[in-house]
Amino acid sequence: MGYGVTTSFKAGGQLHTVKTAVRQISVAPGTVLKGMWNERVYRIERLLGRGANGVVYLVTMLAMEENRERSSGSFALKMGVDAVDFQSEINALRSLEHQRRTQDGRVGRHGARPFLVDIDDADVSGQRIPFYVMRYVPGVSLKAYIYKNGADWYGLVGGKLLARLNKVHQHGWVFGDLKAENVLVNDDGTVELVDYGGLTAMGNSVKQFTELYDRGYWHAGSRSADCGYDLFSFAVLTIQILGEKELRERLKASLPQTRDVKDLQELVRNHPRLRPFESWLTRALKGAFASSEEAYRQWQELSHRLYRTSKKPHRPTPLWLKWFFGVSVFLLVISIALAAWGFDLRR
Amino acid sequence: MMKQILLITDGCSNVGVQPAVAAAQARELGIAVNVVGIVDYGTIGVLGGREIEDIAQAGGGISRIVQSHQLSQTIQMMTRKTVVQTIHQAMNKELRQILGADGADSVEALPPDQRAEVVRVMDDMSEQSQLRVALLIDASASMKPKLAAVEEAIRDLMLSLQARVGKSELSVFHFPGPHGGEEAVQDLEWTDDIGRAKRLFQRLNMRGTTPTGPALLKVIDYYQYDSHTSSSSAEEQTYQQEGTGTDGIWSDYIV
Ligand SMILES: Nc1ncnc2c1ncn2[C@@H]1O[C@H](COP(=O)(O)OP(=O)(O)OP(=O)(O)O)[C@@H](O)[C@H]1O
Ligand SMILES: [Mg+2]
Repeated sequence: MGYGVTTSFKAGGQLHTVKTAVRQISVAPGTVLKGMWNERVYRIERLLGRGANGVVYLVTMLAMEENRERSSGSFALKMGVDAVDFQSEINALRSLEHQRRTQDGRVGRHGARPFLVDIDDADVSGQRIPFYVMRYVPGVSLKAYIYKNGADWYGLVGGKLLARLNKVHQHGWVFGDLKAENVLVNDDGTVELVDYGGLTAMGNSVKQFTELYDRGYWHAGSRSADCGYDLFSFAVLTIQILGEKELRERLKASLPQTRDVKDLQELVRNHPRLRPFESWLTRALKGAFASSEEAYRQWQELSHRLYRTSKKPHRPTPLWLKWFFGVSVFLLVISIALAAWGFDLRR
Repeated sequence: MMKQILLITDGCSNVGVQPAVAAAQARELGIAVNVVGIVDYGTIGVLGGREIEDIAQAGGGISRIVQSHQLSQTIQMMTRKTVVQTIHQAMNKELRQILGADGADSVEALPPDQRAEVVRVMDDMSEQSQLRVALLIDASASMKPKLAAVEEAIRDLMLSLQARVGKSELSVFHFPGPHGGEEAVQDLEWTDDIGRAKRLFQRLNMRGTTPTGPALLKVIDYYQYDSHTSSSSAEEQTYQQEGTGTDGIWSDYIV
């Protein structure tokens, strides 16, 4: 079953927190950690973020050279609160990484640099704390990025996020806990997913989710991991980013018993910034996409059209017209050939 | 099979056997007891709070005090936690035998590769094991305004259970019953059909007393009665002997 709503979220102006950390891990900047098993050494630089399941620090990996410490790069180091839950997150992330490496090959920017760098335990003031080290993503959250740069960017950045999700799905996984804080955008516009605590093998129950983005919460389907689950969360995320105020009002007004995905659809229809995405969002909310491949393609088509301001909506060429065209070309070729042949005969 | 009772209440019991005694009995029979106290205004009181804690402790489960809007995610999380905990406990016992390790946190103590493997198996088991959760709802007069939230939470829990790979069923009781002699009334038999978990408490005649202990005993009896009549009673027996039914699995992975 679902591993629980372990994260806090804001709804109706109130902060809901369910799972409180069993142990509060806190490490001061400047502290040097050494992994117990792999013996790599890290210096804590600063806090990057804290969640219900762990705490993430920016660290410098230190390499010993002729008895002197030499820095060998910045990374993000996540320490887990609950050993079993955290190991489960590591297991899923490691399998995904393995598949990425073996199936995608070493081509491309991301093939060359693995996301997951080290897995180990450290002694933090007398306690053995499990941690993993990953690529540092120097970006800001998707929400912050859109607030800073404007809603015009959503089509582009949203497409990149969908491409990411699509990759995760291709490897047989569902991200699960997709929400604004877990999507980081770099200055160059590249998008990265962080927090793999919800990563679930397709067909299992989603391991971790946040109510607001959860299909079940909106009475719109199951909590079984399929690509539609992530696409639904993506739709809510879109609504949350482009129409935050309206979503908040609607949440405040609705009762859990009467809460319905139709509320979201209506919100999309009546919102100037969301309406351009209406056809896509409605399909995602209804779970009507056959695959995330298809969802990605449609998003791309839609967002490319978005900024090319033709007043009348673009209609796809009907099938009969394509056929008609094909047949005409065929006939034309035949007649030319016949003409040429006839011409030949007379000579 | 994993068995749980989830008690949802908003105050102190005032009739019959101490609920913690009933919960301890449940635990003996391999049924974990979780308790949620709902408070919407004010507090649940020192006595109520202590009783809730005592019941969960005696029943080997978890207790939480929350507001009704947090109920869905709370019981979802508790049910899941308890499944993992049950597996974890069984596994720790075995790990101690195999590794001679002491303390309750043997999983943490394992070297990374073995830990990864053990947790992988734990995950599979918590996803695939059979699970039954009996909900016991306090329907004394003060609970009336909270019943809509309780119903929604039951629907939500059902949804999470349905998503598991392993067969998962839920059953619902409320207490007290309409007549003097009845400690608890069954609203829903074991089911995995979410459609049946609707409008459970519509025509409820809410009375004043709160016989939490006797009601718990009734649910325990239902579990017992059910396992005797069900076709899988042989399986039940081994489950009870081993405590968890996880015997022998770990040794393959650890040694
Ligand atoms: N690789 C990274 N690079 C930069 N920042 C990161 C990285 N990983 C995590 N963070 C930051 O740390 C925050 C907390 O991390 P994360 O979401 O993994 O913790 P969590 O405990 O699992 O959170 P949650 O409560 O959402 O489950 C993130 O929201 C993000 O801002
Ligand atoms: Mg997070």
